[in-house]
Amino acid sequence: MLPDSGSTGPGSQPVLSVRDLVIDAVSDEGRERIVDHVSFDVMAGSVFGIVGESGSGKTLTMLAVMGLLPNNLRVAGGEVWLEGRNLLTLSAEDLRKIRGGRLAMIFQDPMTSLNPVINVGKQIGEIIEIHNPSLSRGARKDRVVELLSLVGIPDPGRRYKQFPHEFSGGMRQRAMIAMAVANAPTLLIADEPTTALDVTIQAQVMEILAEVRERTNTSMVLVTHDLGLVAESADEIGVMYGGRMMERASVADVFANPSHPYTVGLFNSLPRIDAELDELYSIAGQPPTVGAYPSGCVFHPRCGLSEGRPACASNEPALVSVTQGHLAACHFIEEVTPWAARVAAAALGRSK
Amino acid sequence: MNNGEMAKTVDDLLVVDDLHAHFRVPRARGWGGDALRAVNGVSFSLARGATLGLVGESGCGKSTLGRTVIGLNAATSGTIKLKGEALDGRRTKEQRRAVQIVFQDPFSSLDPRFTVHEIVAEPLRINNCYSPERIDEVLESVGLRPAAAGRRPGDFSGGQRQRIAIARALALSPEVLILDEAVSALDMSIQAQVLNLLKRLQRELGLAYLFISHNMSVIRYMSDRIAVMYMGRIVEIGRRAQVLDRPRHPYTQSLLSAVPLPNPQGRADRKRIILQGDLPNPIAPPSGCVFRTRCFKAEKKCAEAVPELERRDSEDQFVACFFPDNGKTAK
Repeated sequence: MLPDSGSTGPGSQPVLSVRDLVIDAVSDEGRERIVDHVSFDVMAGSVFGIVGESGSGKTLTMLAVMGLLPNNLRVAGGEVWLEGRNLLTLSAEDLRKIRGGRLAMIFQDPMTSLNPVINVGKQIGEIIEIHNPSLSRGARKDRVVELLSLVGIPDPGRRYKQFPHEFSGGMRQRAMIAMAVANAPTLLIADEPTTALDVTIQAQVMEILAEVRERTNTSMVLVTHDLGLVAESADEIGVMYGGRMMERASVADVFANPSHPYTVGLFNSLPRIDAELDELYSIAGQPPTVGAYPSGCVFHPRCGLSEGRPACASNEPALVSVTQGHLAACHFIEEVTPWAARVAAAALGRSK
Repeated sequence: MNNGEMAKTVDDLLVVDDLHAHFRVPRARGWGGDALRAVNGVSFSLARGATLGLVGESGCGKSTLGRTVIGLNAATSGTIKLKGEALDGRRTKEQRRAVQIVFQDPFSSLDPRFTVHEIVAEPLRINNCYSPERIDEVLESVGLRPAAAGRRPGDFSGGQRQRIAIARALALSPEVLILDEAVSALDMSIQAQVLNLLKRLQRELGLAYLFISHNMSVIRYMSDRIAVMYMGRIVEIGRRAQVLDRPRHPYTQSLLSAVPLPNPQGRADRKRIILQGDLPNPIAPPSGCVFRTRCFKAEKKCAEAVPELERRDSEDQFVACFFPDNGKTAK
């Protein structure tokens, strides 16, 4: 059994392959491992969701893919393949040609990622100009107006001339989507794209994003802490904790049969809009400080299944197959499902 | 009849009647200002030991409502009654003791130079009832060790800080606790710890909660009754199961349908109501029903008159809409 079998379906090709990515923080005091051997594939036309809490390494992983890690962080190992090229070995110049072109990113806060003193149309036009300098000014403007209407911005001709402060939060995020898809990327990386938005606006933006992806046949990595959002939008998900990939599978498999104690804990600690819960399961303790991870399994001090068994504290478990295409990193994988059933029953209640 | 006269019962612990909180917003150019009606005629009541969940999107006035109830903002008009006594701008120490608040951000609501002991001691000192035993007792009740008392907020994580903020609010044995997005800044795994703590404290101390949140799932877990706010008004209020399982106001319906469900099985056949457009400018709200500009049911009548918050049948569910759902087809 391969510990890391990539593709899930016959004929599907990965657009992005991340293999054993390692990120270290480098300071005068030495090196700390921040992200440890993270691997995953994003299939053509599909959405890969990365779920984790703050400090789990989900955003850093994607910044490393884009070549945008902050100065004190270094990629210390691994490969990132996009359309047959290893992005980690490309020169800064080559990488710049790919970013905003084949590979685009949408950030959480649209107010800080747009330039407040340049009108929205010009900012989107700039991206097109950089990657396609031969396009005439008129054609470029037509393209931007077309993009604005693609993301559902009413009256795009007038909106083109407006500045970011004249856009509402939802509109700004739509403008960011327009900018991201301006050069027809193969892969879109959306890092908490709707976290700053209200639910009704979030629903609008996610719908637009799905529509745009379908029309342009773009794959996407959706980084989020919202399990509801991945359940509704992603095809496959990876659950990250303490800089590791703890579980990886199709969305249906993870939700039907969560196979890592952290995933089980997370699912049962979540208040549900669709269920009457008596008491939430609570994961004991605090998430580890970034870089100062516990020995063995990084989750063992908080794990409800481990109960202090020595194997958890001494050895780090590898990602192994639970079923075809479903991977989890736990020493006691065969005990997870019966334990999960007990946890779920307890949440449903003493009252019943 | 006042807006929502029947949405409250007089013998409840806290009774809010036709409360308004308006602010003057200066114009960008020229002289003068415009009225921003952040809370625009809100009535509700809260029973001892119960939780009223107040849900709405950013800018709907839910936090201003909480701040007005506790007296951080002056009410423009309307009454707030605690055990039958009116709370106005000049509150007695006893009245202030009885209503306490926990804010969203435990990083800015605790003084970084105070120790935990000093933070919890401050309300006790102000009320001349300081005792070290009381501080140990409250810290223990929120799950902090007495040893924590000597440390400063900077030594604690977000979840621990929120426990300190809860301990401070509980120090004076209040009867009503206002929780303003109290778990929204916390990570998923920590949120459950704090929610369970709040539920346990409520059971043990018989506290009444006004639980303010934008998160429908958290509201469902915590509340006995739920009020949905939109642009300064309560558009629907009722028992938890009524509001969530049989929402009647089109805004409640769209709000509920917009919440992503952590259940990939059902995603193909979920019917989602996607609202058009954004929140209107609160300084120049639409005429008539404030929701009509985004409503999928709006008709001519909605622009002409403001719908009152009215009981829709024999049940304890109040809706401010001319065309409320009959409750049978929803969901």
